[in-house]
Amino acid sequence: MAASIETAIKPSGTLFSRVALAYAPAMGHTPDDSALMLRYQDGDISAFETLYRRHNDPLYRYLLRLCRHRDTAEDLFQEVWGKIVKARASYRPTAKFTTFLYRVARNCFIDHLRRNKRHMSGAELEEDLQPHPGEPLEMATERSLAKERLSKALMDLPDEQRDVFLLHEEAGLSLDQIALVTGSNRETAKSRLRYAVNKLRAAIDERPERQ
Amino acid sequence: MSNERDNRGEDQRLADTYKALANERAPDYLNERVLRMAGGQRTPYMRARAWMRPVAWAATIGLSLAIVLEVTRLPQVAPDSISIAAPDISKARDSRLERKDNGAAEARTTTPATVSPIESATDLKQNRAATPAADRNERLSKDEFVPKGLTVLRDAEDMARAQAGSDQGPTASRSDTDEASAERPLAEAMTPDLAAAQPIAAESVATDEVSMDEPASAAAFATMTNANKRVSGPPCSESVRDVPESWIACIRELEENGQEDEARSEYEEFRRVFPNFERLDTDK
Repeated sequence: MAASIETAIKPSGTLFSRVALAYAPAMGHTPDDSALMLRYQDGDISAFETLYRRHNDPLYRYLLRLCRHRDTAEDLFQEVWGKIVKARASYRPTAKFTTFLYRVARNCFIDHLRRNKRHMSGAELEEDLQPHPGEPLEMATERSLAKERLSKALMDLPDEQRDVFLLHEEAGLSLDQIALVTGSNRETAKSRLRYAVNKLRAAIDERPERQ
Repeated sequence: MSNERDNRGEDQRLADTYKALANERAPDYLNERVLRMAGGQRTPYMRARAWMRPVAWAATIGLSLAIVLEVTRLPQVAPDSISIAAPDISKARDSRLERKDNGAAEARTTTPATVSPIESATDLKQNRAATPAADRNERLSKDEFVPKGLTVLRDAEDMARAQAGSDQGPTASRSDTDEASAERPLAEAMTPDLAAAQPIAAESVATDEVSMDEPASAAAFATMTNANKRVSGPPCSESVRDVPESWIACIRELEENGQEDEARSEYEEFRRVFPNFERLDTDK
């Protein structure tokens, strides 16, 4: 990973527009996603590798939670990155790369829903609820139960609220960026996120209240 | 305030719980597949990029050097190329000058009281043959519309002629050229008259004899038309020939029309028929 980052931050051969980006590593800055995408646009494969390593796991989890089906999530994951690769020639750094990436992912998911309306199956995702090794049994049990309840509450959330929550937690997007990705306004995104958080918090706190 | 802090703490707890829950990673085979796809889908431009730029630079520099060399060499090459093209240019200029001379000769023949038509034509040719270069240069220097570059062409032409003809001097060649070009305007002047006077059959014979697609010279065309005219009959009719005065008038008319050869032949015929006929003052 470190090696790939080092290779990725080597200055590219582009003369004019990428000069500032090429000098960024020397100044101790990590190249941002747009710079890496532009370098990949110029044929720098290592830049894409860096970009991919940065976003592959969050995107995978986002799709996994959104689809609730592992195989579908993997198919969509490949489809999304395929579109990113194909779109590199026309990519312009007008917005944050993460916004672009998750917008593509969300559109892929919506297309998938439209394609497979009749064959939509129920939730299949099985969470890993095993306690961490070395963790005290009581704490591990409590954490495991909390995770279980959270997982269930997450699956029960309406699609829009789950989408907004995942974009906020996995992609780290702000409300404005979430609004951009989902095609809604900021207030709608904020409202959906607040509803989702409240429901999930309630789900986590459910057990102590009962006790 | 405390409510807000509680919310923040709850949000943090929720985030931590979610982080503990969501610890899946993209499978390795998916990573490999995606990276292979990204590396494999290299455009032709990306593949050629390693060697394209140096080659493009080299080609640009080479092309620029070639253009610069060509431009710098052009003035040195120019005189030779002009000397090669000189004969055609000189012919064109000669014919143009002769056309002017012919106009002047016609103007002179309009004053028949002083010069005999046939003699004037002969003298004109002799004068042209005697002083071609000096006469031409004089006329060119007087011509206001001669471009300055033409003097260069003239020099190149003289050089080419001097180089070309050791067996045939420039004067002789020029006199030949002048003679040929002297016949050219005559033929050109005759052509419209012939078109009106000659029968269609004669024209068809002429077109069979000579291919008009070729760049036939005006002199050759003049010879052909003269031959056609001979076939079609004498210029002056028999009734005109019966009376010496009318025959002389016909000859003068031919001379005025620029048909010098016909006029000369008619005059010789006239002298053969009427050897003792005394010239009028106007015929001199």
